[in-house]
Amino acid sequence: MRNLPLLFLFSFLFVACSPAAEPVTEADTATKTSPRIVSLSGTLTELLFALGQGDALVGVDVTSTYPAATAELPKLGHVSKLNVEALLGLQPDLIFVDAAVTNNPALKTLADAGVRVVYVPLRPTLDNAVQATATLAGHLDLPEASIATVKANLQRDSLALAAALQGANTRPRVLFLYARGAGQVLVAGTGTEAEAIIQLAGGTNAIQSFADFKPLTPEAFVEAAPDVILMFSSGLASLDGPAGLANIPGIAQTPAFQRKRIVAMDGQYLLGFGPRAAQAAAELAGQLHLPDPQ
Amino acid sequence: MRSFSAVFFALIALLSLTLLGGVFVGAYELAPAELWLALTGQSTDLQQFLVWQVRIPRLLLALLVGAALATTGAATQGLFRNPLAEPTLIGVTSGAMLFAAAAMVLSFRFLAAAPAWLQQGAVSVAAFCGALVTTGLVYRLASGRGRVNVATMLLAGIAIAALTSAGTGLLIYQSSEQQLRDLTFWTLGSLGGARWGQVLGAGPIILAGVYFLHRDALALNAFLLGEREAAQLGFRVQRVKRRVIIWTALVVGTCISLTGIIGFVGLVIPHLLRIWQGTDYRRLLLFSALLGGSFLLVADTLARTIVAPAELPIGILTALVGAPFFLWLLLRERGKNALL
Repeated sequence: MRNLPLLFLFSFLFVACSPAAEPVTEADTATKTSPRIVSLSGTLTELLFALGQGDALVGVDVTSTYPAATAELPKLGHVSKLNVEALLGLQPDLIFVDAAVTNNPALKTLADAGVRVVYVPLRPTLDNAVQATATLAGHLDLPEASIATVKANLQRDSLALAAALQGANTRPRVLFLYARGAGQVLVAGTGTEAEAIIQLAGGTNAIQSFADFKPLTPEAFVEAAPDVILMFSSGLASLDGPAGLANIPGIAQTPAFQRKRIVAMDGQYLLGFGPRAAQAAAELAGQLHLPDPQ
Repeated sequence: MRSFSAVFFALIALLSLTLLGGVFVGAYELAPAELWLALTGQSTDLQQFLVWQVRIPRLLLALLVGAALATTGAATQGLFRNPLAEPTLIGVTSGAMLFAAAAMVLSFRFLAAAPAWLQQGAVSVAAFCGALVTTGLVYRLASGRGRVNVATMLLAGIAIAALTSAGTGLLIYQSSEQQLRDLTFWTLGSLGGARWGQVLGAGPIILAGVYFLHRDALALNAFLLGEREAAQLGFRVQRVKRRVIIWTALVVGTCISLTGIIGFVGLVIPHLLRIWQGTDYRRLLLFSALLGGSFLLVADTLARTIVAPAELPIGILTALVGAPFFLWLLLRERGKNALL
């Protein structure tokens, strides 16, 4: 219901535009300097903004939270639950979506309606933004300068990351907790994006026995013996801060909790693997290799 | 009690009205004149596509699925002589759920070599098979010496549902974040993927189901007295039971495979009609189809408009719209008459 005023605004726009609604043909879209873009991935949205395409965006999905300007855009919900009519109503020329999304009937319908749906492969690597930019450049007229800026920023942050890892001679064991309130706490296993960022930041995943996210027993928390607990800021907030963390059985007994080594970072920043990936890794590396307060 | 034809035409009018309303509203605003141009093929390609390939198939699918769920709900209530009965009780829903979850979670491991259409439709095909397999299993468990024991079937259905939900739970434990989200959305239902192919595929099965269930209306009336009494009245009780179960499984399996699980319709619509029209299955089954169709059409129209440009899962709306209205009716009628 928060979107109601926006909806009204848009309906007004449509009514206002309707006499001028001419048939959208290939020629029209080709000659337009700036196509209308919908991004259905938080990472791609962030990257498109970094590449100076923010003004071309006409809608984003629910995971698009950065930069702040995304709040002004129509939110299209989750990618598994798209409203085809509303998407067509935005009259996009291009829809960018994570290539991991497959068999999505709504996207198929949109493609049938003549919208170009581009599946962009995304990987949990530092140069993911550069790779994705190459894919985007195949469909958009991206200014060279903005591509260079994205690359330069990543390189600068990679150097900072290397500097942060220079003096580090240990690889702290890091436990990534995905929390949505105390009742729903999952732990990142192998092959997750959380593990990727932990390794990039010079740590090791405290969990090596399973893949993906799983709930953990109190004993397994103690056995994992993490030096650091890593969380999303939103996840830590859902537990009412570090004090609430102690209510999860087993957590209070871990070395990480006893030494108050709990790191919370924004979800899109930490695991987005967008243009700020190296910056996030460098910041995490700094947190992981703090001199012990004792 | 009003005459059959008066109620029939009132419900047809309601259905036409909701259908018309559904064509008019949507996340993509179309003025009536534009809508007319799009309907008659004189407007832009985009608007014609929107009306003919997105909006209209979705309205028709909502109508069909609503009719199917309400009719099979009424028929199973008649079969079990129990006002709380739902197709869930014969294992349709839980079986479809287990198989669909398996298709979602295990798809990458088994289906890599399958043809493209099977990969894309894997969840639908699996849900349909699951509905038939579990219903068949429950039916076999409840039948012996040439007859089906309805009480055993009820209990077997509950046991099998517990078993399949354990299997679903295991799959949920195995699933990744994305698969879990898909699964959750699936259990809340959606008509978002509606295309002509689905309408044309599901239409004949659902219409045939409604027709054949309606043909057994008199037998279901006799069932109200008890199975033995129905047999003494000359109904071939075992055959009626088998027909009701087979058609329910087929029809509900078809619906679930296309839209996921949409609750509440099968329970509420027949009861609304019972309160209004009394329990006469000659009316109940047919009117359930008409009212169920209108109800799901309205619910889906709300689902695709009120949070636009996003979309609400329809299962939330069927309960949100249906439950308060149902409670209101229930309280109004409290003490006046029994429910079945």
